[in-house]
Amino acid sequence: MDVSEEVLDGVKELITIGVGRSAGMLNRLTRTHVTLTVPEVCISDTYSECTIKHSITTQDTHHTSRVVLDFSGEITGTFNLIIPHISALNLVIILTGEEGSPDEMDALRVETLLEVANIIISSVMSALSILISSKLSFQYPSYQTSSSDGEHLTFKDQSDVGINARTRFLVQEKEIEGDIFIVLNRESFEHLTARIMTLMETGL
Amino acid sequence: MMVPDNKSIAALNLNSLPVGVCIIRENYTISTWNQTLEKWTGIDADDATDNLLSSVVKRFADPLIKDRMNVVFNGGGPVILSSRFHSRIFPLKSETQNEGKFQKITISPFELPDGEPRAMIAVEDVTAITEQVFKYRQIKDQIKYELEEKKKTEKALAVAINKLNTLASITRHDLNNSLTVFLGYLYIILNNNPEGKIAKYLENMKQAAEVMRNHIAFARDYQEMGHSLPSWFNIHTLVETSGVGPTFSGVTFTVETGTLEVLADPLIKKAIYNLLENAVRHGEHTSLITFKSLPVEDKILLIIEDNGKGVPESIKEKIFERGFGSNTGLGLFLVREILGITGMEIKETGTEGTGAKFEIRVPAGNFRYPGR
Repeated sequence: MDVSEEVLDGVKELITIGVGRSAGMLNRLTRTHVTLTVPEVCISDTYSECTIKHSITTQDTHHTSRVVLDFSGEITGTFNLIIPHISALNLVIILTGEEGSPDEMDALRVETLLEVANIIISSVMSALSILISSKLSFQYPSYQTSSSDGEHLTFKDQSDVGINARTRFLVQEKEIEGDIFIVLNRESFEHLTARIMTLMETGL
Repeated sequence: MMVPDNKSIAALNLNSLPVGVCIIRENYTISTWNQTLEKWTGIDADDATDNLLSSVVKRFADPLIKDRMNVVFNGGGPVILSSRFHSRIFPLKSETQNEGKFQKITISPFELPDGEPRAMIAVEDVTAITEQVFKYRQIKDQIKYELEEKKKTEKALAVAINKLNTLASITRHDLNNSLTVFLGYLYIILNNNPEGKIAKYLENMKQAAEVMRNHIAFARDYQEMGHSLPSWFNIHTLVETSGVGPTFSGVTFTVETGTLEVLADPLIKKAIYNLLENAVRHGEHTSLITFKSLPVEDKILLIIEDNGKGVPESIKEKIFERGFGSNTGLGLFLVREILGITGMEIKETGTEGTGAKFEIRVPAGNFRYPGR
């Protein structure tokens, strides 16, 4: 899929802004130094091309924890934050300063991970919202577990477009990698593209 | 009393929900405060309505929570405040009450039919599940600790057993060597045709030495028991491989157990051999040995019958005791011990004069019929 450098840069910048904001919130919330970076962003209309090389969704060794948020309105799609299951568990344990055996994603840990993911998703969606003029409708975010074969990320429609951003957490000298995977319908993606191009020309 | 901000919200009857509901306007003033919140917090809807959220619920004055809230009205979608990061945002009527002690809060934006933005704050009481998870974690940690302790003990035991086995093995080996030398000299003397009492004493010494050798062999077999993990053995194959050699010439084996397999210690091969060897040795004129299986409730009875002279009623149980018998007295004792490793029980039920009959009771789960 041909995506112009401008659009790719624009999307990457907005996701980086959102992720940066969420890092700040996580720092304050957990009183732990959290660094979040987005080293790579890829946009494609096929799943295989959309997953970044070495992205966690292309690894087949572990199961993943996923927080999913559906949204609709001026742009319609699904926001996924995907983290390898064990990493997700470790992330929650580090952020909450829990002691004991970090071997199971119990109800409390799921709830905590939902808040962490919610902070990231909200910040990124908030950053992306400068590209739209009306408010979106959101479903309640849900927690899911699945194998990391990517099957669960299959586009709903053949014309859907995926935006995959590798996200790297650095918490207490531990590095945890996850994927932000946003699936948009074609119309929404074209709308975003046009808005990015307009902003590039006219500025905010 | 709930004060709705318009008819459409009133129609929702938020009072019947098992969650606390507070609806705020874009300027953060409260427009709805349901009865569940009244009950949990002791704050009347009248006192809450139209006041700033942060003045009614102080935790919302926290800059961090304020920033999170801002996202709701700025297109960022719903906000989750988990009980783990924010224990109790809404105050409780009483510090001793259990209801609402742990809260999970979701703040979702929505619009009234006239387009006016609102945010609904839903307060879920997660006290029960939180306390259960804490208890569950505590139990799990305790089990984990106990398992680790058990592992340590098992490791220490394994080391001790290993040492004992090594000591036993070396001792047996040394004893055997000395015994071989002893018997060697004994045979040299016996070959010189001693006479009288000396000959008798030497014969007694020879027998005693043979018994010693048997005891050493028994010690080796007994030590091997339970060393390997039990596995599945086909009865037909066991009989086929055990009933060979000159001892069994002239003996016919009939095996009517189909594909029966039993879960047993690998020494079962020795047990079956001992049973067959006993049938021939003690049966005196044994020419036929039959293996059959019979289901009894959820168990299986493996029956081994011969046409020898049989076992007298008075010694049916004694034959399984260590030291009993006209040979070494170890055979059937070992057989019972080997079978017992996987819960099998053996007894003799034959009739003297018509032959011996051994019944092995195999417990449920420890037998199978592949291919059935």
